[in-house]
Amino acid sequence: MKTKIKLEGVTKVFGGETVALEHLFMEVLPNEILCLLGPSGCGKSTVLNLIAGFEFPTSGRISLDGKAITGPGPDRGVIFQEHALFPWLNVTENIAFGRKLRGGVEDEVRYGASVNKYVELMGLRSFEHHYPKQLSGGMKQRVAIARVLMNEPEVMLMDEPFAALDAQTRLSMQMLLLGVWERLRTTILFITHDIDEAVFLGDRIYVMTARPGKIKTLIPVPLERPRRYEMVLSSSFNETKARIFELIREETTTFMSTIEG
Amino acid sequence: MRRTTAILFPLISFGGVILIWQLVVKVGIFQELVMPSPWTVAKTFYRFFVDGEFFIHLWASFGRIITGFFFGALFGVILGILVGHFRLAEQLLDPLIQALRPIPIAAWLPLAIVWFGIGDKPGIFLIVIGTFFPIFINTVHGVKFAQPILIRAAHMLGATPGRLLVYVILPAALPNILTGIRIGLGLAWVCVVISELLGVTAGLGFVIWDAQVYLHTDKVIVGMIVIGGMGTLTDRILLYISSRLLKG
Repeated sequence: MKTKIKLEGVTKVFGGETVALEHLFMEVLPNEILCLLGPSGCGKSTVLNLIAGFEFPTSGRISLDGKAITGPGPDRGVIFQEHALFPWLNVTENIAFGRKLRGGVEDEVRYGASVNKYVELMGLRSFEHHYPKQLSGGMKQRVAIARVLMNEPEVMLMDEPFAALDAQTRLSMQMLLLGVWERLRTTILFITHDIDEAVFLGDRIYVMTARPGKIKTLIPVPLERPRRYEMVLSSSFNETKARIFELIREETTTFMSTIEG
Repeated sequence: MRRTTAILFPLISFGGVILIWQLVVKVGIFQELVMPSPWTVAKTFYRFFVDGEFFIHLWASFGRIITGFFFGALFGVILGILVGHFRLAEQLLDPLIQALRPIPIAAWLPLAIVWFGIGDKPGIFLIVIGTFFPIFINTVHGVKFAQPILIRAAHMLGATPGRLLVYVILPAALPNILTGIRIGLGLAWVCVVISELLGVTAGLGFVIWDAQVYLHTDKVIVGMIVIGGMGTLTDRILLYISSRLLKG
């Protein structure tokens, strides 16, 4: 199968001495949800920033659909851990902002229709005129996702997007994301330190080692699609979880304390 | 409760000052000429108002402030954006501007009169200088330190460099720019009073300096009260406009 995103021997060194990533190989397949799992500080956000084009690798190659990445672009939508919405714009304006920033000619009909589509899809109806500070954490992330989807990106890069939410909101956001993915099948790279989240969402999981970050193992998730919440009680869910837990335990004991789940 | 205290407490502080003032006059430490009573000042204020002097002087000062403040703010915002956003502009202009900044407003007055003679122009020049610096500095700060995550978000949404500046960096810097403008407007009142020390025959500053020469202390105080009141009023108007602009 063709790969969507490919990292080949990527090394990232900060300030000439801190090795964040070392000779990392990774592939994201089209239309899958790929989870990148690892403890805080293992360099998983660095992976995302490199793919997003916010930073550049010290050595190695990163490509999207075979083309090398040279900087940030609308083909790779990023959902940040903190929402990063524009506080002076309301929900509708935030969602439509990508097109405005790219200097697209404002086509009211199409424009309005597609904003509406994503308002509906992300369950933001009746919040269209709210400003970010009037929204809860979960609602802000819905807007952040809608804003990115509006650009019809090749991939969505999600950097622990639900980590700051309470357990219930996190669960409903995971369900919402799965529902959206079932409809659009946008390729997703999802970064998390939460084993349950990775198993519940992902088709495959890359487990990373502590710094310097490398890929330890690739684990396919044996759960069928569409995912349902009851699956977290299934034996295959728990076996996968146990397997990942064991892998992480092999690393170091200090490592374990930083992992949730 | 909060509403009542919001009205009552300022009345207490203002009333308290007038009361102490009245007591000091009654005790008679100062001569009436040096320290007129609140009542004398109130009568002078009334005459100042009904004789139409109030409007003549207010308009004279206000005209200078509007013109000077407009140009000071214009230069401050434009140069602030350039210096805050473009590294070359920063290297070219920032050291020069920082070197001029410590010169007090009053020190510019002799030069202003030499250059512009008498009339409105020296005052306007002083106000341009006085308002420029706080607006410039706050604009630079706002543009330069616009939240990096918002800039990243704009980049990943595909922002072109021009649109990034206009649609993201400027709105992000707007709270700082407005803070600068508010400080600038306050300083414009300071500048206008200083400038009216010389070479003019109308203006609220002129009223004060002129009354002092004739030892009309009551009128000096009237002038000060009017300046304080108008300064507060214009500040409140600006604050209101700011809150409407920063709805997000």
